[in-house]
Amino acid sequence: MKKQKKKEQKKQKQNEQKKQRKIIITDQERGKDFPFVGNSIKTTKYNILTFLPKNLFEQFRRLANFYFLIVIILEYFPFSPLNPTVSVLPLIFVLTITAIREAYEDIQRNKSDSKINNSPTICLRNGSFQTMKWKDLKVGDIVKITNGKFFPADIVILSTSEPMNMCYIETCNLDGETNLKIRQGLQVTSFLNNNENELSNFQATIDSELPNNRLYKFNGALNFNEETHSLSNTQMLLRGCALKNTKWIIGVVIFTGSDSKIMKNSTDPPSKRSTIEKQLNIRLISIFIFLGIIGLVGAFFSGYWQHKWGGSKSWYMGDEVNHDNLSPVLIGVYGFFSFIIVCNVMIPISLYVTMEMVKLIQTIFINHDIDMYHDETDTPAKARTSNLSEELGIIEYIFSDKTGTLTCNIMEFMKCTIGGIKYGNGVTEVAIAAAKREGRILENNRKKNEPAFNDDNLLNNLHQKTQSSQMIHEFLTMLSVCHTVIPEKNQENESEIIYQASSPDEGAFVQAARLLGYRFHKRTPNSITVEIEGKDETFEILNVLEFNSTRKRMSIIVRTEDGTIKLYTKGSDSMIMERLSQESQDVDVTNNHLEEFAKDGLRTLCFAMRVIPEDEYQKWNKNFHKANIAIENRQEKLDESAEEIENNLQLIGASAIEDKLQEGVPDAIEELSKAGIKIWVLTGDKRETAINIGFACSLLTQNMTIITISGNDLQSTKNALESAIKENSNLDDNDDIMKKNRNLGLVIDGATLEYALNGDAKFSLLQLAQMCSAVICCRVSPLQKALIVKLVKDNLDVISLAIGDGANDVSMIQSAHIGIGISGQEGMQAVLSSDYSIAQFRFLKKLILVHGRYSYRRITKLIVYSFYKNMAFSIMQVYFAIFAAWSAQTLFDSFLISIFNVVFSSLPIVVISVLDQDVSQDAELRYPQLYSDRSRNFLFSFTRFWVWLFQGIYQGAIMFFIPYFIWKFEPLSSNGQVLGMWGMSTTIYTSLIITINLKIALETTFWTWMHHLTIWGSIVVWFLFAVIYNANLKISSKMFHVVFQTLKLPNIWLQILFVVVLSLFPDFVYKYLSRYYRPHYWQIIQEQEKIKPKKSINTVNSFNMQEPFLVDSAEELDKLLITEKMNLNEMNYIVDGKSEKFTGFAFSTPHNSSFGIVDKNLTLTFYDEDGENQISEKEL
Amino acid sequence: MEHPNKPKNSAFKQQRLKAWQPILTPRPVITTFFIVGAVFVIIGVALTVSTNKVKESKIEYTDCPLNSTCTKSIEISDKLSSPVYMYYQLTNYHQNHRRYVKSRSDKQLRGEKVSFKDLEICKPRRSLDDSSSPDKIYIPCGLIAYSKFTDIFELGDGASNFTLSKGDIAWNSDVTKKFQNPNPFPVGIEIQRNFEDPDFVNWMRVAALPTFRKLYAKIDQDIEKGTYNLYINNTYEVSSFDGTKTIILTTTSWAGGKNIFLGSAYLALGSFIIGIGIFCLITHLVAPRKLADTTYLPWKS
Repeated sequence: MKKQKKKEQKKQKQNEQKKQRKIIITDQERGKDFPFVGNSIKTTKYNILTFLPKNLFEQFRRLANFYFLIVIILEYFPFSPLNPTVSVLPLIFVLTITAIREAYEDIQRNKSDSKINNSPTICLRNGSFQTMKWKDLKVGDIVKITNGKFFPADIVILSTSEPMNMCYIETCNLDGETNLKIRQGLQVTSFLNNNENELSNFQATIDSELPNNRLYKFNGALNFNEETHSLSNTQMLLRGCALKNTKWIIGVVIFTGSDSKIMKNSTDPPSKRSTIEKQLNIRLISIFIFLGIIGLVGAFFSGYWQHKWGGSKSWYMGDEVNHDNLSPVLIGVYGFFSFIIVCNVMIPISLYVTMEMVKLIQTIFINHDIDMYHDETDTPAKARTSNLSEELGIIEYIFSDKTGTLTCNIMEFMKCTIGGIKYGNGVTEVAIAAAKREGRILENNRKKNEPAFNDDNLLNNLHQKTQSSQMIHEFLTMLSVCHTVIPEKNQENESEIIYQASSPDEGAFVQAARLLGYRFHKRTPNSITVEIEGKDETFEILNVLEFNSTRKRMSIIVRTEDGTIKLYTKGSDSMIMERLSQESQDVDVTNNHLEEFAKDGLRTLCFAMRVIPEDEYQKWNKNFHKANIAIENRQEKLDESAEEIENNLQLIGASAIEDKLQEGVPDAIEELSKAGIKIWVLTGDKRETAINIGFACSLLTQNMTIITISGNDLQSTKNALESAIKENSNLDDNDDIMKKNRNLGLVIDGATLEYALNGDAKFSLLQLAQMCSAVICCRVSPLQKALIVKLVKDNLDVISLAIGDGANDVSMIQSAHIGIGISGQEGMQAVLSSDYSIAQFRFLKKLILVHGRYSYRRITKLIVYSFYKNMAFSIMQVYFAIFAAWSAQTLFDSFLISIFNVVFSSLPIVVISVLDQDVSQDAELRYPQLYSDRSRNFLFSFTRFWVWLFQGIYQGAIMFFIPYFIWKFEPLSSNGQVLGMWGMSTTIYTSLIITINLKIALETTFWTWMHHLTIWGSIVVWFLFAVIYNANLKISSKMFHVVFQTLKLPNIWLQILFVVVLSLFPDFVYKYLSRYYRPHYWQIIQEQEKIKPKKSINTVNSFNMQEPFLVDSAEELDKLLITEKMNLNEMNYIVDGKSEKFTGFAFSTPHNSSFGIVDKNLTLTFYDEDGENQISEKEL
Repeated sequence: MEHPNKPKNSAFKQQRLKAWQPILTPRPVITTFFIVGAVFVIIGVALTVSTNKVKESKIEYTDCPLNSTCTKSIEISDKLSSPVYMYYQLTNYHQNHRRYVKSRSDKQLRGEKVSFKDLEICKPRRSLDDSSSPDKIYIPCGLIAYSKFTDIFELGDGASNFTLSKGDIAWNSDVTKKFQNPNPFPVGIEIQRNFEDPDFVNWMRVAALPTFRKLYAKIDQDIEKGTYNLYINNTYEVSSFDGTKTIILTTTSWAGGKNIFLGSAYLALGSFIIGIGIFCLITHLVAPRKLADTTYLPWKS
């Protein structure tokens, strides 16, 4: 007992030890026992030694490869009718090609690894800073990182170049956020300067937690001078982030290489297999079963034949002198395997190679598509995997990130209204899309690098000393003063200023003001200096009344140089309008303007001000200060206090900012939804912003009923969902058209999703979402994004695509069937984990509608055709067996069997599955509906697959039995000579080659020179080959001269003609009649393209509105519905009782902003990334 | 600005290759039906006419006692004009059995020197008792050669016999190249002395089906209507496997012997195709579908 206890204690102790690692800073004696991993990373799958076994193992996990391995093994047995080499060569070929590809990919990975591992960094070794490679870094090293550099490992800050031991970092690679974050070293180590000696003598240890994947948490302690200081995430710099705005930092390496948090977070990218490939396996199994049946039938009859006719009866078989065991049972068992071997070609071994080849070429098409090339960033589209191209053809759900994907993440000051006068001539993407819907063409004449706001009237009016000019002055002053932006001087060019704005809107304001002559260039804790038309003016900041989501406004109280106190307020129109003084002018005009702006998809903000008398201010400030130091309900008290001063305002005007959508986004979304694809936007933004963008990009439309779901616990969420379902499904029952138009939009936020993704609620959510044509999820975390994708992927039998640009989209990209990364911008995380990368959202349209659709049609054609031809080929063995005593004698020469797939029937299908176009690319883009036409689900259905196989079975029957009835009555020649088995075999083989090649000719309506070359070429090659193969005894004595004797006979040619026509006739008739009486949509378009002269190639993006075909009649219906539904236009299912209306307002401040300026005492507040817990608060 | 990554605007990579895009529209399709149908009917007529001109007489002699000579009278109901071909036909005989087909050594049959090992393939008729001693090896080896057809026929009208010519009854390429007598003739058990013998050569060319005919001889003179005697030296056993033996005398046309199957098939298919053509034509005239008719598009209707 005691012993055991002791043991347990020991164990416990060990566990405790294991919970943390002790790091001795610059431990000079790091010997063999150094317990930590190095800093080099390895993402390769193989090394030279493991490549062969590992790769072979991987490859034989593929069902078809394994099957061929078994077949080959069987072929080594004496009962095999075929020589193993017949199968070995093709298999080796297949394996080699795949292995080469794998090796190539692994070498690429290795190269990128070694590039990273060999990047330089500065490290303190032997008392001096040395440039070292990343891979040589060790835990406990002191490193120095300079501005703009990436951190080579996870580092704890010792000291920085900035005051307060602070530094700024960019975490774009980790979470996709581009605004800077603050990190701060401990004060006790801030004395350490950039001094090598001092650093060398620095002696301390760090106790740290064990490596883990928690990006936003860190627990550790620094032991220095016999004191322990706790370390948290604030001191942590993670690998993958970059140092910004800071000259240098000195830090200690804590986690290296695979221990670093970013590596701990990177899971192996899930290997994605396309749906087709999975379905293919099921089809394969059905063929295995078929093959098994053939084997059993063969086994039975071969045994039976032996029983009935074997032994002394068929004396010519010499069974009596045969020493082999010829018992019927054994013959039957052999027969089973023999038939499987003879018919093994039923599974086309070449299919996999062909498929990989075709898919590779499909990726080339994607990579080289000039329509998907982004000129500005010089970024072409890139297929990072070749596996999924056909998957792009069956997309039903798209999950899109917003910032950086739909929008450029650029806010541009576009328009404004000041004192009732509207300024700004820019054209927004939304306006362009709206104009397109109405049949007008609106073009954006703005040149690159030109400011979005251009209107000379503004400056003209400013300079004419009127009342209006005073308003404009105040407006511009507000733009340059009322914000929390930090100006950053460019190090090379002092006059150039970079604005560090946590809110891109504010950045846009400051930028716009600067261009209009109000240059904000200096901020101190309690003042802002603006250069107004060449003259510096300094505003003393008295208070900042912060933005939050209940206030929906922010104010700043300043004292101007002449001593007046002014309150500047900007915020949502509803908030501002109700706080205006009675005397405010131009309110109605401004409201009209706001509505116009909103229609153009612009984000609007109202601006108002008030001059505050000194005594009023002093009185109020006391209250405010009280509120500010309150311990309980501080926020509410602050809000109350702010309310007191923010009234009686004078309206100045309003701004309109374009959250610049990427070019062509509304059009792309509209076209994709025409293609029957549902688009969900998943964004971290606030609800208003998200809805705004929804409208801006045509996802939400004015005649849409928008359902907002919010709840604050599981039950209320569920109730809200269910009542929404109930209410809207009733509508559907009454009105079928409405269901068709699916005129519902769903908006749900992350907090609600927390509950909605749980338990039963998620099915309600799914049901509701399916009823809606647009779904917007706002304020969702990266994890929730992935969960939403998984919810749809796992519960609906649909193919999903996720598109995003940031690291926060990675999990979503990886969990969707297809992940797409937006490339060409900073931060490659999303791209690296994606399957395809494109530079712009709009390219998705071509990627899906053209490349996806083509690929899907091509790949399915390739598969069904390959199986069909091999079925036709191998089923004849069974027919022949009926007459060949079920002995599994092959109908064809074994060499002809082995090259059948490769030489005579592979190229045409390759060409067709590379080039086939049922309709032109232009038509696919013009009629997105083609994407979801009724043939789509049919293309690789089990039925269609077997319909094709039955064609093979039928054609095989024709090809065998027609000659059968003729060969029974030889001679076939006028000279009386008989041809025998190999003559019949040659005839059938010739019919087969011609039939399957003509069959593929029937399957395409797109004939390039390559089609002609390969289809006719394959037939010609057979004859050329036959002549050579039959000409020489040394090559084949079996087939010697057979082809000459056979094919010289008119009778044979008439048989072939008959067989070919009869084989293809039913198919031909079916094709004609079904096209004529039950045409597919694409067939109609095809006819249209044939009848009407082809439009010029450049019609891809221009839309010819004269064509009656393009008018969407659904729109007319919509117009009718609007009148009926006006009142329903907005439904709120909000349980907590607070019903919110949104009127096109949004003010973007990241909810986890890392710093905000609060009041004149300038409190710097640090939040951790959860945005919840205040970690530390310091006074400057 | 440089664009090193800009894709090339080639027709292939942009998938804009020039292409011919035929589609199955009524006019060419119906025309094709009629043309193909007509051609098939014509071929059918030609085949039927020529096969009807072919005259054939046959006599089964399975019932002849084994290992004796036997005479059968054969009725020629229509005159057979020269050249007349004489075939023997066996049924239920599986020359296409896998173990049978492979059981030969083409190398040996070419007259080349072969080792015992080379003849492995001939099993179970490689040598007597599969013994490796040279004098036990079958020359030539294999089931096919071992089971060669041994019946001998004469045909006469009682007074004189027809000359049964063996010239040209086997493929020239077989007689001159594929089969060559070994020189000197090797020791062993002789199965066939003359490898180049046309009867042997024909036997060695295995038949496709269990019912097959092999050309026995060519008669270079007309055979008038009447009854003739067929003298058979009957040595070949077929009754053990329920086989039959038949002698066939036939003339040939350009399409070979008498076979009404192909001609009838052509006639039938040709008529059927014309029928389909008429059906399509009528439906096209009665209920035509306008090409490129957008009412078929659901998003249009």
